Amino acid sequence: MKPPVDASTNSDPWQLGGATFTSRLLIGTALYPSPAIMTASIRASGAEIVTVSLRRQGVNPEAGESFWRIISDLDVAVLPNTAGCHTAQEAITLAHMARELFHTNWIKLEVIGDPYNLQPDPFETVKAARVLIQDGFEVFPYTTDDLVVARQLVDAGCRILMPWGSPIGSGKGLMNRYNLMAIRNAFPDMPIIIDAGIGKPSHAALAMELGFDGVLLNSAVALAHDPEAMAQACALAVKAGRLGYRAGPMQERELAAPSTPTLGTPFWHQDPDAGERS
Amino acid sequence: MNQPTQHRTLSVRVNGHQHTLEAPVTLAQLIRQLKYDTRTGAVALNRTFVPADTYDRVWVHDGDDVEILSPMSGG
Repeated sequence: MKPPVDASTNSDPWQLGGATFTSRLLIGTALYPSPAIMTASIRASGAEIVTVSLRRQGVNPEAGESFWRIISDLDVAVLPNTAGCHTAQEAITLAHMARELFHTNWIKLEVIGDPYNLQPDPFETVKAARVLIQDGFEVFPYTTDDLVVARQLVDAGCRILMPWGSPIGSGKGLMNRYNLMAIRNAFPDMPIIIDAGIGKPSHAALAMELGFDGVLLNSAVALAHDPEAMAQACALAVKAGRLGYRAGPMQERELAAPSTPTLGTPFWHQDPDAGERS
Repeated sequence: MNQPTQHRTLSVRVNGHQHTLEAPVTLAQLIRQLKYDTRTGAVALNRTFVPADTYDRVWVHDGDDVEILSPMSGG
């Protein structure tokens, strides 16, 4: 049952991975023109959770420390990802490295099956999820909009689902509403976050209007002409969509139905002979 | 892990780069020699995670593949 709407306080907290959050917008830290723009955008988004990755330490090890210092100063929860992994074993290894480094048991599980559309490999994702959950991780599985895969992830122990809207970085929005709603309806009480493919605030608003619990985006903000403004727009979109969902939208109708009352309509519409008398 | 049989040198790949090191060498010694920073780095040896508190007990063998990863931006 939806909680009662209280737009005045805008209080709509949700539980995710054992913690309570107010913002339903999660945001990535990649692709920004500069660290300063990244910081400003994350602040403008109001996001309380950001995604990060692990990459090879380069010639300049201070780069990693510098990035970590910036993220720490934002005072947000960190969700490390296993981006770049193609097998369950790679993802499991990366997840353990992330846990040691970031001191969190949260892991955004990404196991990519195709380099063209970066589609998650469903088999390796489920395999990795099962092992990581047994190892004590809170798994945020990045998956497609396949209901059967979603069910297998839940059966493996996942308490959160993150189906794509469309391929990573494509900006195509929600490609398959039918499939996404099938997942939503199959798991009505599970936090489901639309992750990947969000390109505009309207995509984020739609995801929330459809009843999903959150949106994770990165390119939509980082690649915008004005990332900070776009971050704010996406934040407002998520709030608007969520409020619209909780307010209970009208039913869609096939036929038009006048919104202006028909009783007392002037001129000849009610008296077909009125035109002859005048 | 077992101390390797005596080799004069080891060929080890670290973060994709080939290195020749004098044997025997532990992970901790390898990290120091190559000047990596484990304050902001986590390590995998042959694609298996190695906890930080074991670096000085894990021996590196000829042909090993080491990954030292740090926090980075991500989506």
